[in-house]
Amino acid sequence: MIKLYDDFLPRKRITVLATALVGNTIMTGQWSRDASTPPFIDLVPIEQATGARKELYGEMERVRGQGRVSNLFKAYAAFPALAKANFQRLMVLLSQGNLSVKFKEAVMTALAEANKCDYCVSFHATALRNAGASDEEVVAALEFDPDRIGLSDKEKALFNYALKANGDPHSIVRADIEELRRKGASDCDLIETLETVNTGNSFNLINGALNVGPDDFLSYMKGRGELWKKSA
Amino acid sequence: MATLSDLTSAERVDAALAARGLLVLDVYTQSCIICRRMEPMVAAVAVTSAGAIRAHKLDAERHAEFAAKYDIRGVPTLLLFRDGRLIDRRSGFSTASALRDWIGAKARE
Repeated sequence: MIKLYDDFLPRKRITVLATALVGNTIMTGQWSRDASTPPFIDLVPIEQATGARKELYGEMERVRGQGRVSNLFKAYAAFPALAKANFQRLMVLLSQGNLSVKFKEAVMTALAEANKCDYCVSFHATALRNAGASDEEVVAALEFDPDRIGLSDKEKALFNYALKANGDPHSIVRADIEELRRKGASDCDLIETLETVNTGNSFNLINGALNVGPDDFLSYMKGRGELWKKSA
Repeated sequence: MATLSDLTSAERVDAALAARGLLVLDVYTQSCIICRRMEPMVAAVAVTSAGAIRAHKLDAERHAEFAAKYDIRGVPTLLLFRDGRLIDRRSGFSTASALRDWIGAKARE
């Protein structure tokens, strides 16, 4: 509940926030990426990188494999120190803590769908499958159904907590936390979950705001944006 | 599918309410961020119901008369209809799991 009836009903307003024109269709919401338009920022290729950018790309290739510098981090690399800090933060999130990588990638896949970031859906769905999820479990994450992802009871509850934190963090009440405690969630689990939401959201936002599209090395779950456009 | 079809005309609203079965109307406004974040939840619930639940969205500012008739005091508000009759409502953000539990319980009543 964010607006009172009297606040919005009598005044007919034309809202322009988060609205974009794609072809002849007015799109609203976070997803407005147009695949036929280049990114709004220079994504320097690996072979042309120099200095701090080259150093960052090298670190990413050492962790992810040759050529696996994502478009997101090519964009981030416009501010190399920040890009490096964010990559290290991501590595801490994915390699430490109590919760499974499968859980974290399921959350980030679901957030990408909720936030309508087609690149992020493809990236995290691929990572989710690499973390051991079946195709059916990836689809379940895209359908926001933790009961079909193969998670523990605690992680199922934390998955819904993540969605609620993304949807409206101020709607979370003590009873929600007590329910998570009953499922065995610790303080660290809560922070780990919320940082997963933060990370997913920040990537969704940067890719959306800079019109950054999927990496060439991705092939799984591409084209969600076209599906969203058709269903609108 | 992350989006709901928008009932942009009074005729489409009437047609949706005239159909039999369970219908969820997601009442929103263009400027409501929480509405945008909840729409994919509602859409996913409809998709995974295998046709048992229909879902549409409705802009409260565009349909002021409808909003007044159903006493919409804030958005997002979900209206749950069975055979065109309002059987329940809820306000604020809900996860897809919470919506499945809510609609499932109401469907069994």
